[in-house]
Amino acid sequence: MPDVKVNAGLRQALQIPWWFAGLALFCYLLMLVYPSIAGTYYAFTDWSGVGGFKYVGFANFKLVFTDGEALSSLKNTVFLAFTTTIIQNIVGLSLALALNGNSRLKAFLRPVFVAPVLLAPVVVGVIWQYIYSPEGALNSLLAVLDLRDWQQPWLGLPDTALWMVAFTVVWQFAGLTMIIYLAGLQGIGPELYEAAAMDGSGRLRQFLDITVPLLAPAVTVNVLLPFIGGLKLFDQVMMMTAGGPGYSTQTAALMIYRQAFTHGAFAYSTALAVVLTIGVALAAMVQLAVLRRREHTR
Amino acid sequence: MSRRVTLSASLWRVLLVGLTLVYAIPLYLVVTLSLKSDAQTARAPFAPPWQPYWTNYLEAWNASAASGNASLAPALFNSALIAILSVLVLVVSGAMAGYVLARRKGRAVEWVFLLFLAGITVPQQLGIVPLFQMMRSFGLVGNPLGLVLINTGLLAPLTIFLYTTFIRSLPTDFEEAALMDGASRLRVFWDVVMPLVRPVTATVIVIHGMHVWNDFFMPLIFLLGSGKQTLPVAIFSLVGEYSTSWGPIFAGVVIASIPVMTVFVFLQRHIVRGFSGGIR
Repeated sequence: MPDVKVNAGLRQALQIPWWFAGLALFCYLLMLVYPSIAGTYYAFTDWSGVGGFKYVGFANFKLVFTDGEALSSLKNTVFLAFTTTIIQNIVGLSLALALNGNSRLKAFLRPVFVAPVLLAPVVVGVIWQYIYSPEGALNSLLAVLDLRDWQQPWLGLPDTALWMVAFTVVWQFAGLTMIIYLAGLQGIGPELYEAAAMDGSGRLRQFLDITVPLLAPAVTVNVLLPFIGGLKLFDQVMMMTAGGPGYSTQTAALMIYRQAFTHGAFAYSTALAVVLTIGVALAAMVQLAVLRRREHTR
Repeated sequence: MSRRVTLSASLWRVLLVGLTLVYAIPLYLVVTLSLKSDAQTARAPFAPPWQPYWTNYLEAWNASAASGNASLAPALFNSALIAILSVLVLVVSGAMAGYVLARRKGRAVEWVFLLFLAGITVPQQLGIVPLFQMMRSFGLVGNPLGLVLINTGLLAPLTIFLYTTFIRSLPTDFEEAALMDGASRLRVFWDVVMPLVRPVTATVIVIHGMHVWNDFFMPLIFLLGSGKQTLPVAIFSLVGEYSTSWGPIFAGVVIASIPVMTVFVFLQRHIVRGFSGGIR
């Protein structure tokens, strides 16, 4: 049976040697795996970057959950993750529904909503930093509309600053949410709506019975990506407020950076990073489980 | 019934017009403010730049030769160098690794695949301090090549996930035929597999190219103050230097954004498809 022999030889030939994966594995292990493990280890020590260090147990973590700065950073981070995810989905879905089925309008407006997605978060941060500034566009607009009473230093007040940051993030990424919803909507055949209309279902019923369940995979992506991105927010905050006023807009990622590279508190910084990592992993697992189950039961 | 439909239709229209303005005005401001002097901006922030004030661009381009920090000309070069090299290395190393993981059989393959997957959600902050120490001991802080290595490692998980799953869905017929003709495995990979995985390569180039170009956290830590900084870091320094002199700052923003926007205009379909790839 020469065929079998050839096949066996081919199967052997398709056992691609490991060195093909060498460069990727090398960079991955050296740049992400090793530093992450080492970082987790340092979180349990009093390491300051120079000299010796000793094991201190959970002391750094105890500090994270009693230190006012760390607590407000964690609170801000969770707040930003939730608000940006929710608002971004409302805006993105509205845009997708408004543009879906109107191809001329879509061709004309889609680039406007997608453009911010392509900009660097730092760049979007500068743009809104100007708009919110005391002499900026928002206050000028309020003056034009004769609403001078509403004028404020938007980023200078602890009460408004965090909302302004959240809005900036939504402004940048709602276009991405829209694109993903549009792709989901396009996968829904018009015949479904026609059949439902023939059965006498109204617009709202059709939306709830057809659009919502069939959009479930898009919802999964559109909740997961912004939420995890929200937990890791750094660029926009560093640019716009540097965490201020006070610590009212400081995020976990910003505090990790500050503690390590401004204060040299390496061990404390990595303890915070471990907390952030656990938060991200938990969020990802919970959301995947919940959203996947919903996808299946619908 | 029909009145209700028209009412909701006009509500949609109002919403859409409102949102369009919220998006269009800031984009309009970026371009117009980059062409106005500070005095013009302060007087009438929304007016078009009737007499374009090009000095802003000159200033941003050569900014502060004294500090050598914020000037955009070298930043543009560094950003391009780092983005091009990172994407190139990612595509080649990622596709080769994905090829092994897709075609090799055995338990080790599954473990390595899982090892890569685990890296997708790990925040960069977790390892940043040890990474910084290590790169400093290699003498790679302030060196664009260091950043290429970092990007290759950090973005390997997603790249490899995309290539592996795609190659697994491909039939092996073409590779077998080429191997029977006596081609080496490297040749088969390059001449047979690489052309077949072009859709993934396009996605990887778009997603990672944009990520690296716009990245701020890593270049801030590894390149700030080295004279080798990328555009986002240069913009950040520019704001520190000019504080509220918005003309040169927005000129810098325009310069930093032109490359991505140009690519977008030409590759809009691919980029949109790459973004929505998550659910297809």
